[in-house]
Amino acid sequence: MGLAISVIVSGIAFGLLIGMLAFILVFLYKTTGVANFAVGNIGMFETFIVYELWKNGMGLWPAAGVGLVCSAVFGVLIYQLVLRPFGGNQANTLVRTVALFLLLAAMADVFFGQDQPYHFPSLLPTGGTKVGGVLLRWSDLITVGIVLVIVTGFVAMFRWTRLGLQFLAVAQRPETARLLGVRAQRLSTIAYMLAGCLALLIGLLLAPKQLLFSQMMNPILLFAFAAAVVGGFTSLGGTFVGGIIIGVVTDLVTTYVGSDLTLASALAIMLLTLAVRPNGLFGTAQVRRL
Amino acid sequence: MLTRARDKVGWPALTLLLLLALAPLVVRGVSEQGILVQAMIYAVGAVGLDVLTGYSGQFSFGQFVYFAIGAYVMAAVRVNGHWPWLPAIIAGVAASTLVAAVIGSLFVRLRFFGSAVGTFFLGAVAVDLISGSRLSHWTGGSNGLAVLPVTIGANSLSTGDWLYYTVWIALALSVAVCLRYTKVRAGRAARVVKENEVVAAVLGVRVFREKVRAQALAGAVAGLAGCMLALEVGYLSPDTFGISQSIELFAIVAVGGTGSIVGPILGAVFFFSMVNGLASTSASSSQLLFSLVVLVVVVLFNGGLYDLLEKGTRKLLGLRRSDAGAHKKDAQVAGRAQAERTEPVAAAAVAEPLSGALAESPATVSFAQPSADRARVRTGPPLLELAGIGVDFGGVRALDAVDLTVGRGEVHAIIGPNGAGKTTLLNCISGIQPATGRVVLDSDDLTSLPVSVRRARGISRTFQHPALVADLTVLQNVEVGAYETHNGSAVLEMAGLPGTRRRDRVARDRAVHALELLEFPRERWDVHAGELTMGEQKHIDIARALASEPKLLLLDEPTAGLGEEEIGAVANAIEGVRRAGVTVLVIAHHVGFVRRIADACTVLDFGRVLTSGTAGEVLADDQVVDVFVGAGRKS
Repeated sequence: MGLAISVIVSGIAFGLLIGMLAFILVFLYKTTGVANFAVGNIGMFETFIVYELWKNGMGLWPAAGVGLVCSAVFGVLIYQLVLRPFGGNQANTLVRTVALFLLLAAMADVFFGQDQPYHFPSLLPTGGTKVGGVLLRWSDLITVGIVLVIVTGFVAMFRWTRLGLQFLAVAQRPETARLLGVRAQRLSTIAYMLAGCLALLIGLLLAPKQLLFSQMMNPILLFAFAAAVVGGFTSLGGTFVGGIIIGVVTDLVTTYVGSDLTLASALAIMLLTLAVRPNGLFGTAQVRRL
Repeated sequence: MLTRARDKVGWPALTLLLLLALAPLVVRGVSEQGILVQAMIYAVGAVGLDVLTGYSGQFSFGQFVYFAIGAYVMAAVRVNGHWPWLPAIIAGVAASTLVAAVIGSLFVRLRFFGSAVGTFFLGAVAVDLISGSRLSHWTGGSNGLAVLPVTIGANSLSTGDWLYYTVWIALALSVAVCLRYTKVRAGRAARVVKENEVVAAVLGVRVFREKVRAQALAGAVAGLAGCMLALEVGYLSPDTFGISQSIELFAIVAVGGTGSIVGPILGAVFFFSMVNGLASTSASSSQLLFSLVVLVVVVLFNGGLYDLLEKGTRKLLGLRRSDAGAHKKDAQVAGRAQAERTEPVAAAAVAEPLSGALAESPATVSFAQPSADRARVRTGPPLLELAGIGVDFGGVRALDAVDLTVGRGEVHAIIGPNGAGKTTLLNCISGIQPATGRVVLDSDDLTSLPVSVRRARGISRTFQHPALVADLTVLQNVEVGAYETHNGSAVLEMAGLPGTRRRDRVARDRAVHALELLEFPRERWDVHAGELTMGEQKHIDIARALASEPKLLLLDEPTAGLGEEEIGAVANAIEGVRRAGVTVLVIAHHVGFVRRIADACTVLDFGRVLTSGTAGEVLADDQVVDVFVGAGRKS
């Protein structure tokens, strides 16, 4: 029983990371119209940059700080150089993100990957505390805290800032928002800037747990897609609930059934959701005009 | 990406296949031949993926699942069941087809983005399953599975020229099947689905089934490619079938150019020449270069290599884009089909020959003079009866207890301000929009019937934005609407049996007839729909709806966005339809147009029927004038 509870607790912590990646997916989907297949690899590549800085003698925290600035720039570059030029239709943009997914993995292999995988130092304290016989890891608890802070920040932004309001407007009715004077491209640029930073954060939290290598984000990207679908692809808050569900279930499956069915269980949850509630737990149906 | 699909790729495909067949005469090196073999193996699957993406508008980032199924089933039945190699290959292809159909039918509900994610996911899950212990009895788990050598006489199919030409035959087969698919009804219907699923459904296309068919076809050729891969590598391991390979395959199709069949083959040759050409420097740097190329192509040259080649060739030959000459043959075929028509088409609602009365000048849409001699009120039982139709969109009551009766043979106009629920009402009648209340056509209760059945019972419609398939010709667009049903086996269609040929001929006759009835100029029949003016598109949309020979034709704002002259042409067309005995329910904004064509008129406002009567009465009604012009007009 103690094992089950600690599996569930670590599942929740991992689920929040999944939820954060899913949040980026949905946030980009709502503001730019396309979910980005490359978000995971964006985070992976940025984590490699931090790793290189650290390896070359910089302190871990300063390296993370520099990395965060780089990530913001990186996000902007990706939007301006890859996604914006000759703005294609939805399908074209989706394929661009897939090409970016390939490109970032190949770049990581060529520039940093000679001896991968690498051990990545943890930013968070190791060890933990026992509560009622259940081990709670500090890293898990701090992860929960970080995610809560970020969610609060975004909620505050959406509720009380002009920028947040514009994001919501674009997410609801892109055309109308544009006609009312919202500068959609500037907004998309900012969205990618934020997404770049969040992606680095995920990379930094994930890399110490599971080594640093060019393919490290593939499983969590899949989990994030599943979480986004479970939460309803249009609901920002739902992604975290979806993330926790996926995190806990896959953790339990890995522990009690076998790791070869971990991904399959996430896929099954996703398909089940779509069969029972096609718009996810919190999504809303979209009315199409003919 | 997804921009256009091409019809005339037979000759380029044949040329490329011949070049590949002759290549070993020039390319002597063993490793160079090996590159071509690998490229052709990927091309076998890539061609199928192109059918899926370029022609039916679906995505798959997990095609290597089907490669794996083909390869593993083939290898396993030979090791465990001692099957001969040919039946083993057939079993592999059959298994991948079957799985693709099953998985496809799960994923097609997810729309294009969902299925992209789903297939990507599936690719990862499949690798886990193959390498895991659960299936290791058949797959060998992470240890892999040896492929028994395949021989004909003393010759091994796994090396040298024998391997090369075995793979070539597989490619030729895949190209032939996929090309054939794009030419038959199923392939054309899939292109309407790609354009707009709702429109396809209203045309009687079984949207779900056509999408699954494309999935199954792509899965089948992917399975064949997997078998070839098994022959070549001789040893199956899970790493051969990962998600990176699936994504690479998609990238190959994107670089080569979707919707061209030939492009993906070029893409595959390009990919492997490049990866192997640079392999001496570093494997990962060649990957880097390739992904850069993919990105550049997708951002700058949307159409891929094939499009570039096509444009280059055109420029070289000094041809313009609209090559009228190439289409001439089709026009002659159409004409001949029309001439050969000996017996009238069954249940020919449209089968009346053209009368000269249509020659009225198109520019005369008069606001003042309704045709005087029109039989204003028809007798006999009504054709369409709506009772208590209600629709809620969340809190908004879009339609509220709407009753409507449309007499047989009349032209009935629906007018009303924006948001009155006019289009929603048509959606309820054609079955796209679930609603409360009853829909009765010709004393036949359609209330609980789906879109396709309602069409078969005689309801056909057009849309505000005519979703024609831009890369099909006018005639081909109308033909898709002309099939009596879209049921039946795609395999039989591709075999070209007399039954399906007859069916195609009937559809063509009906299409020709509808176009003639609407007086669409014959020299424009073979123009791609993408090159038509808005007025022409509306015209073709009506023809496409009429070609199914409906009892009731629903027209959604056929005049919106048209100039005076084009409105006149639409009015003429509708009068032609009426003379052919088809009842018309039309949404219109243009008062002069309504006055000219309508026998009866119903006014909707805020989801309710404001008034109903003959066009003259309704348009003179003070209440109606208030709604349209505003209450202040009397002052």
